[in-house]
Amino acid sequence: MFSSLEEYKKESYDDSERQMLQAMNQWLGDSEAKCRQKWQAAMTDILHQAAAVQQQAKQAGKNLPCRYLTCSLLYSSIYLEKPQVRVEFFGDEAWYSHAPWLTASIDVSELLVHWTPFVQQALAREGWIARYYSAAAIQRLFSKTIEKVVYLLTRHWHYWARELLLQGKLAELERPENFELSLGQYRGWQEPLYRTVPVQDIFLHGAKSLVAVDFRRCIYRGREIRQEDLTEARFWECRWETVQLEQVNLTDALFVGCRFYHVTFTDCCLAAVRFEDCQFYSCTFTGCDANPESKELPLVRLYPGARWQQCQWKKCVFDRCDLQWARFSDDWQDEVTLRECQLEQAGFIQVEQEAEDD
Amino acid sequence: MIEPWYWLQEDTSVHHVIQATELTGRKYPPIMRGDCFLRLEDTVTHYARKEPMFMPDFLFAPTFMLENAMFELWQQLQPELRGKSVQFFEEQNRLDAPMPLYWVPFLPSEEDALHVETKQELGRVVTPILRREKLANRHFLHITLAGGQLWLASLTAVEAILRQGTMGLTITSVESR
Repeated sequence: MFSSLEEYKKESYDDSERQMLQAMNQWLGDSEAKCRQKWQAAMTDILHQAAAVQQQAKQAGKNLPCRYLTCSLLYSSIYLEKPQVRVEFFGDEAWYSHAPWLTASIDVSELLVHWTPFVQQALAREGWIARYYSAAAIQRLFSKTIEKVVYLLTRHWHYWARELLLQGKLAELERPENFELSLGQYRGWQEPLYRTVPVQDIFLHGAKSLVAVDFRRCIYRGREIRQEDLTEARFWECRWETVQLEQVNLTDALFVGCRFYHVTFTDCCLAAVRFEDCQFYSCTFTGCDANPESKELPLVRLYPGARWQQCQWKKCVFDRCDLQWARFSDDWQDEVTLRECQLEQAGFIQVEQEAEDD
Repeated sequence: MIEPWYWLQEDTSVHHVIQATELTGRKYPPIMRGDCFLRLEDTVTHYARKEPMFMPDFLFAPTFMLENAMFELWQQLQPELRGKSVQFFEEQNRLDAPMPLYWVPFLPSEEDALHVETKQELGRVVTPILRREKLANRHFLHITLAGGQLWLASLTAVEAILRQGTMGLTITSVESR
């Protein structure tokens, strides 16, 4: 029987919290189609609205760029049982000292499917010595749990933001070079979901970071790229010819419309990488790790499987690669050789099924 | 763009709350007006230790008080907030007993922040409605009326308060016009 909050937390609350977060994580992943579509549709509408405001300002002779687009899951909205994400658009001044030029809300009441039963269970009197029970004291624990929910959301919204990017929904918003879309606490920590950074040359960047850099229509020919960190980098219509990538970190990288000819990927990290509408001719992946649960990855992050979507293959080899949880949407069976690869939970999805999922 | 605002009220479900034995209602009235606050000094009081006993972030008796960490948060958000400290000691001075520090916060009352359409009964507000032009560049409002006092907070303040894992408070959304 509990007679203190510490005892209750250790013996009951922590377990309930873990189960709720696991269930919520599963739900956010499995039911992608439903809540993702709804929330993305809401965000698309908000982006349209913001673009219209920018247009109006322009016609009035004012410049209204969006440097920061913040999304905040309001703790108050959860306590008031109407969860919402507050979306705010900030210009290019130091944003904490200036008000947003546009605010909007996204109704995320679907979170209550998991939150409400968790709260009911947490506030149950069972197991307590009656006079020591205090609902108000137990509610004190909720703030840390909500913080974990916010973080869980950031991990899923990170990939949903990528969908918005691929669908061109961010294009109509006028954004300066250092734009950042983030999700987190209201006037608290914010986790970047998508950001644009100054352009860099993949070979001549010096000590400057290549993380989250956009590479557009680049041609790489007969070069070696070794031990670079290309986390979250985005390659748009790039052409790779006889390039050797070795021990390159491509976690969360995005390749759209790229062409790979005689390219070798050796000991590269491919967790959560996404190749969309790419062509691979005579390419080899050796010892690459695309497993999102790899111990080499940061423990505090959650990753989905690598995806090769609407890609074309010719004479390619995957040799001793960890392709667990990877998804392929192409008919590659005749063109791709797999040697000693790990393929547990990998999915070979037909194009029609994938269209439905999207 | 003005944020949403909230009315901060006592969570009446909280029981076994720490109680000061020496704070009189005359010196620490439920409605803390300017003249009362000016007469206050930092003080020491005692409490009778009981099991169980909670020390929430907000006390509403004999007057409105904030636990030390909460008061510091409020001051960060609104530096002009003033306070008089109340140091609690267990009445038998047991070494292992908690010694919480509370503060009586104060901001000058701004009755004119209430919109004319605010519903009042017997000098108490039933449903506060705020005047939007009074809400810019601030995070807290203190309003004293004949029958009661209100503490109101901006969304920024409420979110910061809730993130700390608050006890002793309920929040109600308030309209502004």
